[in-house]
Amino acid sequence: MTASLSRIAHVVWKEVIQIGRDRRMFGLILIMPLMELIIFGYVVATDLTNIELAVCDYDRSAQSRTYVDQVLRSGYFRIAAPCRTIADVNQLLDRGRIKVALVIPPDFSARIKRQQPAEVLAAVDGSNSNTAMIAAAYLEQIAVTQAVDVQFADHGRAVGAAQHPVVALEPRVWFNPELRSVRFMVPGIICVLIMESLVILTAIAIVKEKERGTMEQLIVTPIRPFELILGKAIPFVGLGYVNVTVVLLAGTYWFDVDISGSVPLLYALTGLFILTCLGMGLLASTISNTQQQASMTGQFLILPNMFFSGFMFPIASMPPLVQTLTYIIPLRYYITIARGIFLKGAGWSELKDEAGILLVYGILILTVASLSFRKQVR
Amino acid sequence: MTAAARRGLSWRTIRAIIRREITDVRRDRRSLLLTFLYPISMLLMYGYGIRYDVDNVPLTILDYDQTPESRALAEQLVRSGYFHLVRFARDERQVERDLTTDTSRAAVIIPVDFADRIRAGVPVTVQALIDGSDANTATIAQSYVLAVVARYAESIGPRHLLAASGGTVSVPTGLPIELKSRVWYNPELKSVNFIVPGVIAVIMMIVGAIMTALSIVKEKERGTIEQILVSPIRPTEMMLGKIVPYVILAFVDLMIIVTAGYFIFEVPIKGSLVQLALLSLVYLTASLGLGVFVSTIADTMQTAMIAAVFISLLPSVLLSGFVFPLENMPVAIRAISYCFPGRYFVTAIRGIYLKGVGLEVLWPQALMLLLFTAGIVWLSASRFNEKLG
Repeated sequence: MTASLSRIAHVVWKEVIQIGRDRRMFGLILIMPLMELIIFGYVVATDLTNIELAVCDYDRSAQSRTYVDQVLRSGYFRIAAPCRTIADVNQLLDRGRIKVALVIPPDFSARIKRQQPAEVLAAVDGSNSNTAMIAAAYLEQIAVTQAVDVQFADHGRAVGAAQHPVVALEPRVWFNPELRSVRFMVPGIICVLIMESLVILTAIAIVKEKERGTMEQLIVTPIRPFELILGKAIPFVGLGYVNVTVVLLAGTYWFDVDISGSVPLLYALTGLFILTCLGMGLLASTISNTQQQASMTGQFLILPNMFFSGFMFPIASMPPLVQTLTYIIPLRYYITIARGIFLKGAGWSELKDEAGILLVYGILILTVASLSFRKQVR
Repeated sequence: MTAAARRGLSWRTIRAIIRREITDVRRDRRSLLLTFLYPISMLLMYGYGIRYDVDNVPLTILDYDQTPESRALAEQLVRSGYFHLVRFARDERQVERDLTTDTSRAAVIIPVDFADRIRAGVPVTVQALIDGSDANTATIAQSYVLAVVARYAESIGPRHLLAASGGTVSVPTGLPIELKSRVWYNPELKSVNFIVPGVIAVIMMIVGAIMTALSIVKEKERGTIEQILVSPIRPTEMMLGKIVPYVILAFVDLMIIVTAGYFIFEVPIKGSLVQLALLSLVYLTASLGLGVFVSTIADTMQTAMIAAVFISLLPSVLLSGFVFPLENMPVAIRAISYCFPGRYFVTAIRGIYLKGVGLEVLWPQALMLLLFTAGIVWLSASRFNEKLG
């Protein structure tokens, strides 16, 4: 047992020295977290504000101006171009100068005064369906709020009743009240970093021995296959935890995202995900012969995790068949854990299902991977 | 000056290099497969898997009141088509649990005196709890709840007011301000529609920049470049010969994307195909230029790979407006995006594809793209000749 431990320790030490010497690997380890933080913190996590708007107000009344004012005061829109006639709308949208155009018809205020429904036309550029959806949702919100205000102000005056709507909605946003997307992204960065450093780097580190032919030398030594794997994996597990810590610190001090749940629980459950990732890395190494192949196979294993885990795209809006398929994606469970702890303050009782599935998954994939690795070594 | 340098470019020599390069490409099955698999898998994922429109938001309802009025509101929420009812919760602990475990993304709580207050004409507040983790989904979900409740209020509001006023005032029907949204260019908000132009931009970079750079650096790494240089082949001939197979490959890819998009995913092409092809050619030239440029700074295939990913692939994915809208990025990042051809190309072909506009509108983008292309081709050609000439 002690002999085994000391053999593992030797492999670990050898691996650490090798990582330190490999300037490219070392650079990758240092630069990767930084890149991911910039990409996911600034490029991907963008809140939709300053949507370019043009208003074509044919009415020019107090009512129409109040309405436009309401839209602008929401903070989501800014006037990007003047607009006199409907013909301008066409041009501006074509040229991409604006994303949304509001057209207020000439009878807008007249209809409100006559207590008839007044229409506002909104033309939304749908080329980016995501932006379009959100812009339309903002406009709808503003219109409904404004409509309710107008309606009940009028009714109130007419019947001398309450100035407030009879049924009002009090929306309250939980977990991320200011709706900052970066809060959603920071736990995601942890997931990406762990996947990349554990799956790809582990696969490359193992395949490197194959490519150089040093694998045979290691095998003829008294080191057993599982000791070799363990020794190779441990530095990368450490690396995974370093990444988590870096993101935690950057998230707290740079992006102002505080963790609402327990940090020890996050570290503990991250271990389960690391297990799964190691398994994937090992699996990638057994089916690759060169480092380039290993890195490509690793990427290939990571890709479905990024797309179908709910990391960037909500699972609820995928077609039912795809939704069912997402249950085999390991990141799906870990992302729920990471976001749960980060944003929702979820504890063990809420996350035990995910943790259990992840554990089973990890053991399964690790068993398959080490079996195929041992077969290959023999 | 060698004899080779004095004569003009020889078509025969170039053809021989092209033939050799094509053999090389065909041997590397894995990379070749990747260039075809990438666009197809992107189209499949965005065509079938990923959608940005938010519907079926999982919703938990907690109805403390249990009256016909409260049930009517609950039913309107469920029947609106925006939500998928997870369950009727029994208490707030269940609501909290659903939101925390990701079982639902929104919850509506109807207070115990809901019907009483409505009948008495006293304002009553319904609470909506929205899971804000994903800001975009939350915004949209919130607007859905708001709309449904406002419509409900409107449906019962006048009736009750009518009763209160003794039926003397005329009561309007319908909300006083109604927003008629119309989505242009992509009315069904299909995400595959806006992904197609981006996939073209990315695949051109992969084939044009990464594969070309790798193929030239491969000669360096293997040492075969010296053999070519001592032969009567001129550097320009070698460069052209190496580039042509990738031009063909890129155009095959372009055709696959456009036809698959059109026939399988019904992505319309509203503008002119000729202009699309022309702009793609310019952009492809730019990416080939980047590829040659990378080959002059990298000595090993691994360095070439990393350099090519950094200066060609990443910017064309992240800084082109391909998936992530540029308008909302910080100023510094937006400024960087102007230095890469991706943003001009994606804007231009999205215009052609979805808006059906042509060069009369898109000339600024086309001009910038041309300028960039001319610049990078000049830079890389002169560096290439200097290194190898």
